[in-house]
Amino acid sequence: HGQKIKVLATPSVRHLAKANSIDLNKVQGTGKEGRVLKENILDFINGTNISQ
Amino acid sequence: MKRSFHSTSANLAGGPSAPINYPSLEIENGGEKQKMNLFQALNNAMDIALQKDPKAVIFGEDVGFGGVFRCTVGLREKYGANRVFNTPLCEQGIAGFGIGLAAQGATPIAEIQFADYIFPAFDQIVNEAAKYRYRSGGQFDCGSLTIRSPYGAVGHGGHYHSQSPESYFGQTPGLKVVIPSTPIEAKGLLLASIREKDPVIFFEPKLMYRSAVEEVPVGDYEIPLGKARIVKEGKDITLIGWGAQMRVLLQAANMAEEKLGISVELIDLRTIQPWDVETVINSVKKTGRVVISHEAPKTGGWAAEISATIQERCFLHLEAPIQRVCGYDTPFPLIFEKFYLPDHLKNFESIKKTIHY
Repeated sequence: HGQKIKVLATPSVRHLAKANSIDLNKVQGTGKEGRVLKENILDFINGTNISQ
Repeated sequence: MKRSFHSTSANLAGGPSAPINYPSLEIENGGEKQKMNLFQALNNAMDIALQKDPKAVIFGEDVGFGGVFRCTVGLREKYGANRVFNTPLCEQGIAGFGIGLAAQGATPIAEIQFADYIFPAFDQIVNEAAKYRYRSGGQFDCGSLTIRSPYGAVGHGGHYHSQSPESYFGQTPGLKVVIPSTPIEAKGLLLASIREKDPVIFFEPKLMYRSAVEEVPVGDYEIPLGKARIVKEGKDITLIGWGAQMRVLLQAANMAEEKLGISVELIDLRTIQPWDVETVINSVKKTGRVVISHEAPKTGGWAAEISATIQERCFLHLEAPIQRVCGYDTPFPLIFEKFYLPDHLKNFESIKKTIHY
């Protein structure tokens, strides 16, 4: 399709990121197939997530 | 009580009276074209079917003189009363008779005058037609059967000239359910349905019989069943519908693009069963948001099936809850039709809500 691959995250994680005004593209996902997990968002908020 | 009527003014649909410019499908190598409305395109398809297949026959209530919506006009004169004929007023008989003809190798094209009156034939369709091949281990089948029927709102149809029963049949393995949205689509999908080797229920949006006009290729062409059409590409939200609802959704999409500055992908499902899961999920994976809309009541409507599948297949891509904009869970009202229908404004509100989630 030539479309850009979207970040993988469940609706609840998307919501948490949105509520904290976080761009999911900036968060390093550590879940299956690079999924962004809830703890990745929490680490990002605490400044411990390595951004891409 | 049955009666026919012909008035299908777009004004009565609850939308603005200005015709909207619905994108036509381009048929490759379609050849010569002629201006046709939806009933003329269907008539043209059946003409081709009768001409090319000597075993094809058309029957139902009042089809002989041309049908209450003019779909079979001129066909009896052209092909004879043995091939285009009236039946007694009995839907269960019409369906059973069609199954018998199909089992004997003919190509029956049965008409049920209104989709609201298909229920007397429900047993013949669901317990017999759909299961014929399976039950006989392929020894017998009624695959050449096609049942045509006008469906959907028409402005003043009340309880029994407005219904959309597609999900009752979509739930039945062994049947195919097809709903066209424009004259070009109607002709290609009907020809494919007639030639399909499974029983097909073909619902025609009666509101569009006269109001939808396109340059339709006069030659023989088919549109494959089970394939959705992306009417309009977009990147922010996917909007899914079928039949007469497509124009409502195009209006809603245009309104959303204008007022919200977003881009909407519009999908015409065309075939309700088997539906085109791939096209839908690829679109939702791209947009992350989806609104599905149909005239039929919300509970148990086909949108439920689509949204459950999307949720299973696109869980990691969803940015917002899947929205269903449907008829209410009531019988179809007469004087309250305008308030009942999932019009472009209700769809616009739903798109807005999904975008701002």
